[in-house]
Amino acid sequence: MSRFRALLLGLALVGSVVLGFFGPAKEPHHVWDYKGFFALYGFAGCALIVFASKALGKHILQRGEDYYRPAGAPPEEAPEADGAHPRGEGEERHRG
Amino acid sequence: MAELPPFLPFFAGALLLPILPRGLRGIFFLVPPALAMWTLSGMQDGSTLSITLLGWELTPLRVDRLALLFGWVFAIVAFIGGVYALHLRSLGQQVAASLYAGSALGAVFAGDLITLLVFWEIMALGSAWLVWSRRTPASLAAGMRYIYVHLAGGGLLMAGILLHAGDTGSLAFTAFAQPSPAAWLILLGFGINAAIPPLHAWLPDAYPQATVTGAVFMSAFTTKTAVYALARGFAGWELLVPFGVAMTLYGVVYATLANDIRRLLAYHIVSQVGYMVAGVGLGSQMGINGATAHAFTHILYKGLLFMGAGAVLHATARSKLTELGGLGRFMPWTVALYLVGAFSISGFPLFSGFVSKAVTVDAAAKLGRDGVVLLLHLASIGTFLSTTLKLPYFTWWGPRRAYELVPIPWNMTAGMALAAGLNIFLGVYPQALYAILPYPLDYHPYTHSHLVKSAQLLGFTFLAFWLLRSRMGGKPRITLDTDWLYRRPAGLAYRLTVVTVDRLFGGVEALVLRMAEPLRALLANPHKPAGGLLRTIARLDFPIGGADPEPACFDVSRYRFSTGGVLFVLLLVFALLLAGALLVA
Repeated sequence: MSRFRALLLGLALVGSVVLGFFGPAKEPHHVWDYKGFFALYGFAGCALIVFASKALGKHILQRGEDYYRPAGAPPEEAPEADGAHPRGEGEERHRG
Repeated sequence: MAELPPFLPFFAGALLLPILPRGLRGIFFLVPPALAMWTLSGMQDGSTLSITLLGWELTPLRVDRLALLFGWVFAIVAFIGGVYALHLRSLGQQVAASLYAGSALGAVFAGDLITLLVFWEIMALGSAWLVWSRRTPASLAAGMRYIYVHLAGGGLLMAGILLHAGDTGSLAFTAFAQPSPAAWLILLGFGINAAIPPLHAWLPDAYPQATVTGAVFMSAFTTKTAVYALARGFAGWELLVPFGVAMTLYGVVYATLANDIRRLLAYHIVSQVGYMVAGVGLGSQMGINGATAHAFTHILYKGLLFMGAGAVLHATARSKLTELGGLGRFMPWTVALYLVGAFSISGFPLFSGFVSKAVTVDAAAKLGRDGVVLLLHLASIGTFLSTTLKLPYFTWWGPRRAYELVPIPWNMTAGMALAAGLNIFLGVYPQALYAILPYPLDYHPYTHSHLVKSAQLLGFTFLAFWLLRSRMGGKPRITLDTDWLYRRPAGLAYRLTVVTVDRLFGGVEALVLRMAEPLRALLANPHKPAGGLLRTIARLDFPIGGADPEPACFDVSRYRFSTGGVLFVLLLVFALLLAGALLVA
């Protein structure tokens, strides 16, 4: 990220928190009524999702791509080198 | 004319498509959605069409605000999908997509459970065909798993319907007020199509294997028909709230781990449908409004996202993040239009998801469900992370991988542009959507607190993504899901009933063949092993070749005399015995 873009992002982030103080005043009933709550929640939530998901994947859920391939079946075909026959387009090869 | 059921143009179209010239079919595919929209615009709230069959009253057409909302968005997305698929020359896919769209429309206007069930099953067939049409071994297998799950779901639904008809004597599809075995079975049938975990695994299994255009239709119809059915039958069933909230986060976690871009988007269908299921479970008028409004916008932005991912697949023949990168400069329109869909699903102000998600979340807040509100916001963070940051970053930015690109047909871009336009229109002018919701809604999404909340959530999620982006890339791995429960035993069953039996037969065959060789050597000349006795008799012969050792093969002339002599004696003895027996008798 260039220094200019980083500055823009910083301004936007600070701005979003500062603007929160200029709304119509109301008593905080919920946890999210406190100023800046969603800034913290966004950052912490994102980090939580990344770390929790990756940990779940690494230790429990993820397997090699051949996991479900029955013994003896040929490996999944590699994409054609020239890219001229999109694999997603059965229709291109089977006009009917 | 206004009472023409909107599924009819699609079914008629499916019949006409095969007899049309190939070049016209793409254009003709747009006629049924246009006719359906024309029919819908003339429909009166409250009108019905009933017939009596075998003593049961069936209602193939029941018009109300809930059905009309889904009918409109189904017709719109069928039209947009048709534009996106204009270049298609595959009759099978065009007919299947027509039947699929038509039966989705038929299902939401079905006033009775039998009509609903019939359309439900045609949808399963039509959509399975769109998976099989990709014609790769993986898609054939995924399509089979898909159809098995949906046939099982249809079976549960039918069992529930028959039980319900027996209990109540009515086939009308109305809200199920009391939990009963029949209602539970029907809920399970709906739940499978709504992809409620743990019944959801068919969706991320099959959608990434469908054709480029097929996946666009699939993202629209199956789960949203189920949301409609839940809203009609199970509004206010408290159980749906925890399941819906769990869904939103379940999809987010799996999307974070996904490597295939269309599987990532498929998991975000699970996640987004969670908002709708939770809204239905809340049961308040605002909850139902939120669920249906979100279904409407979801169909438009999720179709757009699948169109964008499909364009990448079409251009590169690749769909894995680990194989993509740096494509942005070569498909700027695709990137821009995809991002409109991504901003919509993430709830950016001025895009469609913002105006519909807020209704559901506020419905939960109004009922004092603070936990629900916070968890839905968390899912919203994950949605932004995967669909708007991770997928585009690793597909279109970064170093370019070396492979050739196939140009994207103009009509695919046009389809995306139509969907993007509608997403922006609904984001800018939400009252157009609020006006057609099932219940009256006086709601203004563009308040100071909503805008600040969105800016903070999105901005700081972006910051966290940027700091953690090195950990975010796809890995060439698959993530186990509940389909493990039927895919792993399937391998075991295959080994047990096919491989093992095959091996057993092979072993027996080899054994027989191995025994045949010595037996052949042994029996080629029965005189040879018979040894001494026969050799004794053989001395009576007139030897042709002198006292040669026994030949390897039986020689007829060599033993003619001895064999004849033995036979003569045997026959003589037999004849004498027979004669004696006859005389005695």
